[in-house]
Amino acid sequence: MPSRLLFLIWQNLRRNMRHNILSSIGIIVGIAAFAFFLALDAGVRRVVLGEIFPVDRLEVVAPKSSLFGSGRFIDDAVLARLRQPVDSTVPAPAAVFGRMRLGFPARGWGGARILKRGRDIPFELTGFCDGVDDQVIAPEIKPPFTFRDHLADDQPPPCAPGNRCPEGRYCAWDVNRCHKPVPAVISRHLIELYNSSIAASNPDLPKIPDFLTSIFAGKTFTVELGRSYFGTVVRQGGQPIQRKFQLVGVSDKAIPLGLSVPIGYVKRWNQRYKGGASAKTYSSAVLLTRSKADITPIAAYIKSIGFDVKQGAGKTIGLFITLASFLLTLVSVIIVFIAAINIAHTFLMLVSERRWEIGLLRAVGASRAHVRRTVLGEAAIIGAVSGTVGLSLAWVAALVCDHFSATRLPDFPFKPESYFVFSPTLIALSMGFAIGCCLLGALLPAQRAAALSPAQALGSR
Amino acid sequence: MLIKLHKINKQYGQGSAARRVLRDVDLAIAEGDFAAIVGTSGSGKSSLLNVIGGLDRDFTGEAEVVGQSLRGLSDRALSMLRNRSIGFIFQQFNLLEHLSCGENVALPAVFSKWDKAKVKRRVDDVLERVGLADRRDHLAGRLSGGQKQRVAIARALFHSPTLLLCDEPTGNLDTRTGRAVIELFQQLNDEGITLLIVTHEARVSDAARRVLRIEDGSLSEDPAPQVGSGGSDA
Ligand SMILES: Nc1ncnc2c1ncn2[C@@H]1O[C@H](COP(=O)(O)OP(=O)(O)OP(=O)(O)O)[C@@H](O)[C@H]1O
Ligand SMILES: [Mg+2]
Repeated sequence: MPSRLLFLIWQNLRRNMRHNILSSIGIIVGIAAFAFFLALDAGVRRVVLGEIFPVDRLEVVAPKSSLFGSGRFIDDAVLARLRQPVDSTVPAPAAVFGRMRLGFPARGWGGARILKRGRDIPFELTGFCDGVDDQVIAPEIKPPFTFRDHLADDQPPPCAPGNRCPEGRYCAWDVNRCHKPVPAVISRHLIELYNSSIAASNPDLPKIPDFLTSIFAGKTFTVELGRSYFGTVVRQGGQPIQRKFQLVGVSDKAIPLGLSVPIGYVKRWNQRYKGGASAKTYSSAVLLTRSKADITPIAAYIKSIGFDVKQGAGKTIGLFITLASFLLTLVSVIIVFIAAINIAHTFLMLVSERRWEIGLLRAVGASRAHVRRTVLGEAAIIGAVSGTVGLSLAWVAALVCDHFSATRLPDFPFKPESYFVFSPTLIALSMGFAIGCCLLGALLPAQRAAALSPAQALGSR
Repeated sequence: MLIKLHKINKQYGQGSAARRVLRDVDLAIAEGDFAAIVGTSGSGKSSLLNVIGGLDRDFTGEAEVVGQSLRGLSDRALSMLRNRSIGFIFQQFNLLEHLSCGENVALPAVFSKWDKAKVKRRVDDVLERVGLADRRDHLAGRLSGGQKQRVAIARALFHSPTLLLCDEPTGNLDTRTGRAVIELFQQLNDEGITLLIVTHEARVSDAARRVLRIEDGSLSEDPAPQVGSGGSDA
């Protein structure tokens, strides 16, 4: 657009400042709400779906179709079929690993050395412990710790008299061997839970900012396999035994509530206390996808080979977030559209008020296209300014909310620093929406202005 | 011929509501002419001027203006013709009162490709020409009627048009300022600009070389005054 036409447009805008401000208020409010809700949606999604319930994975379980079970179970053959789908149209997963639950009672205690009062904390492990493939977690563990099945290749030396063992080992007295502790990882959920509930209400306890690096790394505790705090004791496989576990890190692949250890241990223990197929079948298989888009086709493939996808909380919550932000965004879209109608009104009025001016412009050489551009140009500028103001308002509102959360709200699990994400896409979308709606509103008025014959327009004076 | 009209007919409205305002108008104006169009109110003077100026395309018949047949021109080409070759002057001046005199005068430049320096020079030139050089940066709304009309004339002269179309240019001016404007028109005509002026006033038509009379849409021409008649300098 030539700068002189722009000058004319600018002068027109200046002349009608009051009108323009009034008609842009609707757009500003609408765009502010639009950007605010979409940024909130993106922010909540980032925390909920990125950290609390990652959506880049599927959990595969055997179908529970009848009372007697389906007769299907997940074993190594199934894992292989998941790793390499026979159907070449199914996207290959990034990784597949089995999870195996501890199939018998277990309990633990420890932490005396962390707590200043020096008493061990007891904790129940029945149902809160599983085994995971070493290789999927090992890369996440920082040295000097490792996540591997030590008994797979280690020949533990016998205990010295008095149950003494070399540094880094302990005496498993039931076999009288010096074992290395069983490496265990926990999930971030647990840390968040600890930070926001236990540590928050107990000033003695430190918070865990960057978990194992500082406080819990390498800490050991005792687990008794075969006995729970509820009094249940295993009936087969002999007496309960005690093993030392060592916390080696945090992993998002760990069981959400509890401890995950290398699967080799769980296989041996299940074999011992449960026997039969329990050491060969997995309770579930986790499939990490390469991209979110792969979720749907892979889920379909899983169903086609006769297994179920465990309905993750992430999916349900994701759906809920989508619905909630859809409704809120819808409201803001409606506001913007109503504002666009208002813009249309204002411009129709302006065009009829300025009929003779349009005629004059035509007389001194404006073509229909020039007239149309003048009207649309005014609308576009109103849109751009309203969009900028609306976005700024949304941003300020977001800052206020975040500040309120940081200073007034108590800690809760996964409490984010910011609930909002203003991505470049969102900014572009909001600006485009603001300008687009103003242009839309001005389209009919511009058309009318351009359609006027110059003589008619001039005659209106 | 700068203007050639042949069998121009124009009507407003359709069917029974139709009202013919131009009837078989034939007209030829040569370059350098100074013609006045006179007639009673509602006789069709403005309608005729609008057709000639390309402001109204809703007519039948042949119209050729500044060498171009109006019928065949696109909206763009016609706009360009108005921009470059025709200047309009109105009874109500039609200045954009929120702009300065200079900006009003430069309005035609919005739709041409002259560079900034050239526009500025031309604005100064034409304002000088109408005797308002010192008012360039004044708001147009603050001027007196006579000054406004002179700014409007400067705007019409901006692209050095060959044809000036004026619709009652002195209608809103008092006698004295009206006379000054008429004198300006005569000077412009002496410089070669063709003038077509719609008017009620005898002193305007007296200044013209040709007087065209329009009556209920039909055009006739008064016989040309004899050369030297009424000469006061004899
Ligand atoms: N847009 C229009 N729609 C309908 N009728 C019109 C329109 N414009 C003019 N007329 C009618 O056409 C006739 C001629 O109008 P025109 O404006 O050409 O007259 P005029 O000679 O310029 O009159 P005046 O001296 O009052 O300016 C008038 O009767 C007028 O009412
Ligand atoms: Mg008229």
